[in-house]
Amino acid sequence: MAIREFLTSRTEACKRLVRLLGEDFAYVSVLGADVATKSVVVNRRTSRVETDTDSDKGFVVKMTNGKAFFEYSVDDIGGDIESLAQKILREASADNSLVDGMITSRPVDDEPLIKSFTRENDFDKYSDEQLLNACTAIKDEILAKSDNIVNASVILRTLDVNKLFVSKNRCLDQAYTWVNGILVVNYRDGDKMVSAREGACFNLLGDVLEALPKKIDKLVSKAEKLTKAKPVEPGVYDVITDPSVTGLLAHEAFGHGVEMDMFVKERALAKSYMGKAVASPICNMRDGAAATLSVASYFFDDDGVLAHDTQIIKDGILICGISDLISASELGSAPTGNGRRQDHTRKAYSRMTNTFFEKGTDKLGDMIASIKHGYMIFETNNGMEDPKNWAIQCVAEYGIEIIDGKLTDNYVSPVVMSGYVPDVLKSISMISDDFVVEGAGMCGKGHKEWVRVSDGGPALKLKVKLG
Amino acid sequence: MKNIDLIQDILSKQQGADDFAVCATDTSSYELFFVRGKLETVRKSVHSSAQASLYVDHDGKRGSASFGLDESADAEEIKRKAAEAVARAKMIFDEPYTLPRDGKRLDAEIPSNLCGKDEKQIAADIAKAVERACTRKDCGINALEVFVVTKTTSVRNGSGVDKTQIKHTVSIEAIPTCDAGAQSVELFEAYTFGSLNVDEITEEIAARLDDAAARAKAVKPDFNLECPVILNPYEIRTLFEEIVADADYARVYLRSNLHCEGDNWQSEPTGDKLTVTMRGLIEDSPNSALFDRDGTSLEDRLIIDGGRIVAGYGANRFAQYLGQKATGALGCVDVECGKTPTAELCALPHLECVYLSGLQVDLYNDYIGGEIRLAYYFDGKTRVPVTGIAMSGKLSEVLNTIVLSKERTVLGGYHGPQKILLDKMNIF
Repeated sequence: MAIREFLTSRTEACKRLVRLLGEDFAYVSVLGADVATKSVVVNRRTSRVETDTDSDKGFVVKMTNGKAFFEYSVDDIGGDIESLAQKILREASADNSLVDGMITSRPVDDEPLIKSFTRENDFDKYSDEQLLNACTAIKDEILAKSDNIVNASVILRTLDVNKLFVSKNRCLDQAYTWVNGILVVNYRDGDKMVSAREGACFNLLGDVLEALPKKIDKLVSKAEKLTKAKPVEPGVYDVITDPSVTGLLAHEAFGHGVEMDMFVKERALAKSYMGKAVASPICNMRDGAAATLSVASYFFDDDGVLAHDTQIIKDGILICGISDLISASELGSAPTGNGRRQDHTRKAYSRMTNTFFEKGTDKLGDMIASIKHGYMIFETNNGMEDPKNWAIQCVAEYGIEIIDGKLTDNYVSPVVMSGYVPDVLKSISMISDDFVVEGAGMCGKGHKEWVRVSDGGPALKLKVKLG
Repeated sequence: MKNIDLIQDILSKQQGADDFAVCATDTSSYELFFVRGKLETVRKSVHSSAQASLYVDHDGKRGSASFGLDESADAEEIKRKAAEAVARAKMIFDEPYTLPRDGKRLDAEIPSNLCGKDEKQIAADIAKAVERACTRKDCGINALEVFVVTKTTSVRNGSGVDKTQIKHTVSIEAIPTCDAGAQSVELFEAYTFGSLNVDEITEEIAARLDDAAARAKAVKPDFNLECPVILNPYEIRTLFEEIVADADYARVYLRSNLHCEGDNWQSEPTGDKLTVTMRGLIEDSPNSALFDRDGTSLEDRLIIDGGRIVAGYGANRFAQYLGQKATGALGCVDVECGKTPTAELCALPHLECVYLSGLQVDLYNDYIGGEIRLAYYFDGKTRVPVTGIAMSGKLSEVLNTIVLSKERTVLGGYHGPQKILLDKMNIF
């Protein structure tokens, strides 16, 4: 599977633009994006199939001369390249009053590499009609399970990524896909309304279509139990996190804190903890597009840096951060392949990809049995980082009370975990020997710049404040 | 969008389609990124895109399919995608509805003092306004991002709608930081304005630097706090956005709404009764618009009156399904202020939340709460900064106790009381 014609037909124009702008800048690159999307959404009363309504198609030019970086985003590169180069020089510039206050950056490593990357996909095997019929059948099966289900939604979202990177010495292209399948029910019992969801995310449509129907019984049973959920009594508890919440913890507790553009901004306390203990000695944490196969498993990042598998925490010691081209340049380190953009119109920052705790040696059953009174916490809702001061908030969809080493039928919802990051991570006392990474997440930088991420890991036993 | 006429022409002639709509946007953005006072990145972005929809009436139902187009799309690509959309629309069996009908052409600019100004100059002026605020010892802005955006939106359909609006906004993301204490601390601030007042930006950033200095001194209280909670505009906006979303026609039609018309948000109010109007235009709000993506002209709607839900609101299609008049997708929430001056609201013991990791509002679980990163605790005599605590409450109980300040503010799409006071919150 090669990249599509939109990018291949513009490759020479990109090279010419790099050459022209190279007369004024020491480093110039062009990233081309052609990301096609499809959504199939079916619920009780409506359905739709949409294509490319959240696609990304265009180019971003990046330049530096040893001071600030300049970028120009445009939908197409073609025609009169000399005029385009002049326009870029004119428009991607700063007011004269700001010129003296620019950063100084180190030369960008532009090691020669010409390579194409592709990953198998099966999108051509399924027609829109087949996808719609599959979703409709699942929706009907869910609705038939209970009269209390007021709405059921079945959502398939496909992502078909083509990217091209051109600099003076590099020409890379990549093609890969991903599919998120999501089931949602709204369930009403008397005055109590709840929402529950299940998901299946793979790089092949066939795998998602096979997995989703198997989730129906669990989905409906969970919704029914959630109608009886009560608020958790605020307090500090022994808690076991499921892989989804483990991933949320990895993401919010330390993932954001080791994004190295935050180091440059002096916004991350982690910078001063390199080589020091930040978690229980049984903890190991990684991030990387090459660390596992999930939604953020690209071959090169939006700066043209090849995908990495970065160990962030080893035996409880913080050993490495993750960086984009600019932050690595400012810190004098090698970029780790974590430069990501929301789309071609946005800036690249240091961003997480697939972030997770490594599995341990404990059996989940033993972990539950070790708790006199506490909760097992399930499913990520949202979270918020605080990389400078290490406060953390993670919101899970629900929890199940553990009494005398056994899971009960007592559900609590919602569950807000909060605390001080080192306290939470150092309290980890058991890690299960299983491992799941879930690829349906979206991550913002602050409150914007959304990119697709996965996170996960094993179950963790820890002590944390719930409320 | 350069090719919108071509798109309209092809869609209007598409065989098998009974109607069409296209919504095109042109966005021009100029951006500056500063790191510790130094200019790190300068960006310019020019982007155009369109979403086209085709509608097919069949078997007593209506099917539709949408697809995205960009400026590089030529006639061949548009025709191919349109033909595919017709085939998809025939697979969809939704209840019939019609598109907004309007023969009056609109070409307007949302009022703003940003109109006609040079984007580079605006961005530089904002950067200088932020710099002017940094006068406090040991405090500064570690990271600053400035976005100057002009967005032109055009909607056309097969029923005569032909509307264009131009909107100007500026956005700022700033990280006030204080290095005075044993540990450096920061806050996170993000603003979007429909008009620019550089003096207000300087004042706002200076106030947030004061808060950052307070976070440096803040400690976790060593005693239980039992007092009302005061929320500021960021959190008030989140609370009301959640409440009004429940009255959206789409949610009502899909039976996902918790409350119905006639229900009370406040069963036994002991504080102020809530009156909320959804609006299209609010002065200086970046959410202001004249029409929505269907081309429906926006019409204000009172949705909560005296704590009781009196109406829903929403876009064309779901309004028709419910037999209601469409208001369009209204983006501004206007909450009526109370009669209590802020000074009076703050006179009794309270906990004023300044910086939360994010207010959590869960209508289904009747929950409001969150982790507090900076608050001021006032015991009736002294005001001290506190941190390391969280709060939670039953939303239905808490709303009964709400007291709304007399002073008002605009933040994003929120217009209403500058502060609110909530009782019956657990602080832990």
